[in-house]
Amino acid sequence: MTRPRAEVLHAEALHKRYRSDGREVVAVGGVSLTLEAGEVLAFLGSNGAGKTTCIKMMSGLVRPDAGTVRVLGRDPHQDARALTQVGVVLEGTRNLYWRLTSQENLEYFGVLRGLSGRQARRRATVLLERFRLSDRARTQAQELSRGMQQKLSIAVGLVHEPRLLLLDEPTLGLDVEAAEEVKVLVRELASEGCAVLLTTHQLDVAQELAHRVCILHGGRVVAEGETQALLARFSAQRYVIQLEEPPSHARLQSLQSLGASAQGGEVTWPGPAEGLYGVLQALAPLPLLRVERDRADLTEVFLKVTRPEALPPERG
Amino acid sequence: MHGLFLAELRRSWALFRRYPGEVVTMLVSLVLVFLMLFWGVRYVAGPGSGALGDRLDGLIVGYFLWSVATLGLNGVGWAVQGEAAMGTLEQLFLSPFGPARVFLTRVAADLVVQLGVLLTVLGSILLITGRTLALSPGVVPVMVTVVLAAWGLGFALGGLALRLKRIPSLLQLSQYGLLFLVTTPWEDWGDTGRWVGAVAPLAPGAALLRGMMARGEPLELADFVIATLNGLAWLGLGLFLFHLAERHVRRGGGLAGY
Ligand SMILES: Nc1ncnc2c1ncn2[C@@H]1O[C@H](COP(=O)(O)OP(=O)(O)O)[C@@H](O)[C@H]1O
Ligand SMILES: [Mg+2]
Repeated sequence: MTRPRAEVLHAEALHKRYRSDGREVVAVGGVSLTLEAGEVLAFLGSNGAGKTTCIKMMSGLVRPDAGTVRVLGRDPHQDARALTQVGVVLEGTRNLYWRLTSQENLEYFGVLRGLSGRQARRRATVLLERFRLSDRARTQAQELSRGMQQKLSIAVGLVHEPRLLLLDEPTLGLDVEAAEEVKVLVRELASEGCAVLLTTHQLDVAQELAHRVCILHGGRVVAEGETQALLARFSAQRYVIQLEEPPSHARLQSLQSLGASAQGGEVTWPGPAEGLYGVLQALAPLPLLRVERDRADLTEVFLKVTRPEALPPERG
Repeated sequence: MHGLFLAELRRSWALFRRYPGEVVTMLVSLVLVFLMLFWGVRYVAGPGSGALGDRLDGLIVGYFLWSVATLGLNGVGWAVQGEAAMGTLEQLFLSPFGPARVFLTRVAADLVVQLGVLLTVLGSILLITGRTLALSPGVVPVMVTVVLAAWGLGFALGGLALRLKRIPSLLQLSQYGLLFLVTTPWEDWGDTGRWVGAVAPLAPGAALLRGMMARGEPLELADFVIATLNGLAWLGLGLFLFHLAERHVRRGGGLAGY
């Protein structure tokens, strides 16, 4: 690791169970993680996996049954100063007053998060400009489009310049264009040094945005790692060789004797990597179009770690 | 804290003037209320005011007392309920000030807006009709003690609203309790009555106002101290109960309407 370590969030062994209708639900059963400045971490999990509960415990909103949270070394459940460093946009709840304008919302919530009136006004102007909402400064939140509302929500979450931003399902319910804008924003914020933790059940969002992914299932972390490493770890050992035209019958037989298979012009070698050269030799000197290692995408990783039994049978 | 108060004031004001139709309706009905008070129509002043004597200044003080006490009593409860319904409640829990201080400044700001409107309307009518009121300045601090106790009860109701999410009928019923507290003449009922009258929320302040307005008694320091202690004690108790409710919802995660 050459990146300078600047730990913004540290959560250790978080547990939370809820009682509802006399039943006990383990919402989160031991989640630990750290997040550094400039990093985007995606919490990936299906409905009920415990993502929102984790975010609420990290933001000081819900008290964990066990475990600790530190934001820049401070416990948000004990020390109100920690809250000045956290921005939260929760799913399903709002951080906007429908009847207040964009400007009024930003100014009000700025003060609520500990800014002075003047600081809040300045931040409101800056954020409206940055989120391209300046021409909507005097529009009531209820009259903005869904995408603009979401942008304003994120702006409100950022009004006090927190070092940690927690986003719960930030692209849910947005049209493609608005979702794209939100993604761009998240990338920018991270590049400016903000630590971002976002939850999503949309795998493509996680794959596009996150440096690291944490897959949550039944309140536990079932897989965690740098996005690329995780994809590589769960990728098959398989290689696909694309030929310009289908191999002759004789070549097919020698390929099959090596353990490779072919369909039309596409030859598949199930691995390992060293054996690939034997296959290429058997193909020489046919013109190749490409040689590629099969890559998993997060959907496959997700399915493998959350329900191995439901995985489709190996292709090829 | 000061900044938060200004922000709440701005928020109250922005919401107030956002709906000119509602503002006009409210101003017109206020003007009507005051005009009827001027003509001596007692019942419009709210059920509490008759006890403050039947002179104009008694009726008007009674009306003010009734307005600020009901707003104080219901303000936090309605706010919690409204924020829960809009989905913004959690944001107040994310503030470093914490929800109790936010709601306290909010009811204070709402009170300022409400008083501003009431006094403007009243002042204009006095100017136009050329009448004057003979009010002792002691009325104001006594009114403050009543407001403090009303806020205390309001926070207790607010705590209940936090846990139950919707308590509209309780909030409406609470006005009858308020009526009982403000109008019962404990001071006429011997020693026991005097004790109860000192301890019951809002009671000592209301009794003082009755003495001053209906019987023209001067404000005794000892009575005022009792009323102040009463107001502070009930406010403290209400904030404590609210705090317990806050802890409960943070534990049970019951903030988002589960
Ligand atoms: N306040 C609550 N009371 C009771 N059960 C809850 C509460 N909040 C969440 N749960 C339950 O805890 C589990 C995790 O929920 P949640 O954290 O919202 O998951 P996610 O955000 O990943 O969909 C679910 O089974 C949910 O029903
Ligand atoms: Mg969720």
